[in-house]
Amino acid sequence: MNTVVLATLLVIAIQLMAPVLWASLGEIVAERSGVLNIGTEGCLLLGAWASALVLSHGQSLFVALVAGIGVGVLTGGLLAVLYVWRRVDQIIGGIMVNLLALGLTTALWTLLRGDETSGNAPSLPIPLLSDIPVVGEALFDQNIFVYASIVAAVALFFVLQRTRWGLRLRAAGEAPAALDAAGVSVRRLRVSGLVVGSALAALGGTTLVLTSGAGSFVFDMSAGRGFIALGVVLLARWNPLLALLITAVFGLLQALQFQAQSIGWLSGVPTDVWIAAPYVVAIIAVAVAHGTRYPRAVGVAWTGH
Amino acid sequence: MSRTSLRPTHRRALRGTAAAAALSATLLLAACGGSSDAGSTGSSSDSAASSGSSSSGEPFKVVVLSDGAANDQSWSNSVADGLNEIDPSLDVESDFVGPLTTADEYQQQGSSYASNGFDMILITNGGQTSAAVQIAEQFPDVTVCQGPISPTEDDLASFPSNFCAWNLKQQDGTFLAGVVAGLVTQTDVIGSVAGGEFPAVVRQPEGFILGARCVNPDVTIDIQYTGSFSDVGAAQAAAQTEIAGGADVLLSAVDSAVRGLYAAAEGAPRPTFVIPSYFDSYEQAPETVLTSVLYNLNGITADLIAKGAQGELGDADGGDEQYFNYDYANLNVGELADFHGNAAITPEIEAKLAEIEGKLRDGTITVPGEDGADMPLSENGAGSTIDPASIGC
Repeated sequence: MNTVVLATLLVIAIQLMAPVLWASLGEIVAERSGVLNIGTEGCLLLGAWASALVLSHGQSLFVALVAGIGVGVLTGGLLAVLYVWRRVDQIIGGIMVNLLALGLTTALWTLLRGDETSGNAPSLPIPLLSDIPVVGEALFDQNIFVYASIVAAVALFFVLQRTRWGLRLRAAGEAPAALDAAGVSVRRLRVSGLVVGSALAALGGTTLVLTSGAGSFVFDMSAGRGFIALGVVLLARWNPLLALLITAVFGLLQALQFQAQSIGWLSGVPTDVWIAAPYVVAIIAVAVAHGTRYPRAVGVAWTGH
Repeated sequence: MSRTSLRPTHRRALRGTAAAAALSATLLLAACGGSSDAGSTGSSSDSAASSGSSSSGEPFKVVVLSDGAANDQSWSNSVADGLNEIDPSLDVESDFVGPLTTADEYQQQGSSYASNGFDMILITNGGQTSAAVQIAEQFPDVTVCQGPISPTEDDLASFPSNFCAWNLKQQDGTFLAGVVAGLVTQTDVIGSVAGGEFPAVVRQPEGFILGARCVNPDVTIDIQYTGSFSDVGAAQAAAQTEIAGGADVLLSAVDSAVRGLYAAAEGAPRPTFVIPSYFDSYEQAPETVLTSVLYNLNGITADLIAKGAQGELGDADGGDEQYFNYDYANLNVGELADFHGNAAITPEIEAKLAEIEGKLRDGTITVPGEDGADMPLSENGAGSTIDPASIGC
């Protein structure tokens, strides 16, 4: 494998990593607060739709960012009503949100789409570092949304470990009764977890649109990334830094399928095998990690205040 | 997944769940309906028409089920446009539903429309033959047409009498796109990103490389299959791999996910062009789109519906036709869209293209089909193996 092939492989891996990483970070926040948000796929798709929609009407990247976050916050609010106040079963509620997002984004994109074209977000090469052979382009010549996903993983790790909100959020997922006894509202924390988590997942959609979609929306363009995030979170044991590592490996596995189709002695392997490979690896990894302990109160509706 | 997550809650939770389910279902159906409203037209006239299945005085009712939205600026957009081109002298009422992805969705929608008195269901997804046949067997009075597929004689014999198959010779169009690519490429490497690896898709990149080799014996191709027609990330990754390998002209066979190819071409280290399919996509990426391959899907849609309204489809209504194969000769299938003044297209290239297209149209050049040839073009590697001289180049 020559250096050009290796460099391309890494560039693609990081691009494929970023949307899944955003969704994984969102899921970590939600699950740490005690809510199993199966609706992450829907959040990602809605974020993609909102960002592409404003771009199609000639708005700037900043407006696209705000639109992505905004729709994520609204979706988080809707999920909070379902999970926290109405105490809807979190599995069924999440599936409903995903179906709703798929239908809603398709219909509203058809009805509301503008005519402007925008393209991808511009790459921001970091001087000197982007010139490093092989890894320079992959790590230091990406767009702002890809850089931000990596920074967000590090930041979230510290927020969860070192801030009062992070401590309480984890308590809401592990021992909500103790939190309640201390006079802290479990409901309020779970609402904040859902809103922040959904906004992070929606940013995955924004990143997808502006990194791979040339600024446009495509029906079902999330293509299961939100579901992959559910597995990533389990493997990462709710640790954002491990999620960063695992999504990078997953991106690499996905990128390999395209290189493999072009490499002579591997090109004889059926394409379907390469397409399925990352998912097979994910299933095996999740199966191996079956002993992983969820936060104790994940998926259990809180009946107190 | 979770050892604690499935604990049952109480009745209020169940009511909430039911409410959420009802809301989701309502909006999902509204979404499908929205797509169909946006893309559909009912065309009718006062003149009496000899309708296939409809009784006298009733309009002939047809629904088109497709894998994309009516304005996806790709395959389904072209199909939906055909509903506006139905012969106005026929009393036809039409509807469009898309995007549909799974066999279950096709069966559900098809059955629903058939139960509601529709006379014809036209499915424009080559991968849904089983679903289409099942609908046809379930509703013997309804004509079900599905394509593009290339059925064998045995297949045709096994289909229900109210089923019809349709196909189009896509390889003529991608052959011409290949001629352009073979003349434009500076690296002698071209690429194609395709969604599914089945005959109706495989023949597109294979026709593309055969056309390129017709005018440039040194050219080679890198073909990547992503397994998805909507995953822009995968399409971009596949295209980036091809560009890294030297490709500078890429054919898209991924429908709406072509935007991933635009994204890859934007970031390419050398001028790189994309040739989308089905719809003139110049306005989506003016700097990148070289031309588009057009298949007159709108004309095919209108023609099949007109045949249905006149009772010419299947055996059930007196017709005896079960398979319709469209090509340039009978319906202008396989043309290139305008180059929109792209500087890469020199007068010499235009002249050479016109010469090859003339030979293709008059039969001097014959692009292999999917049956009868020594090596059908729907086989992997056929386009790189067939001797261009043997087809008239």
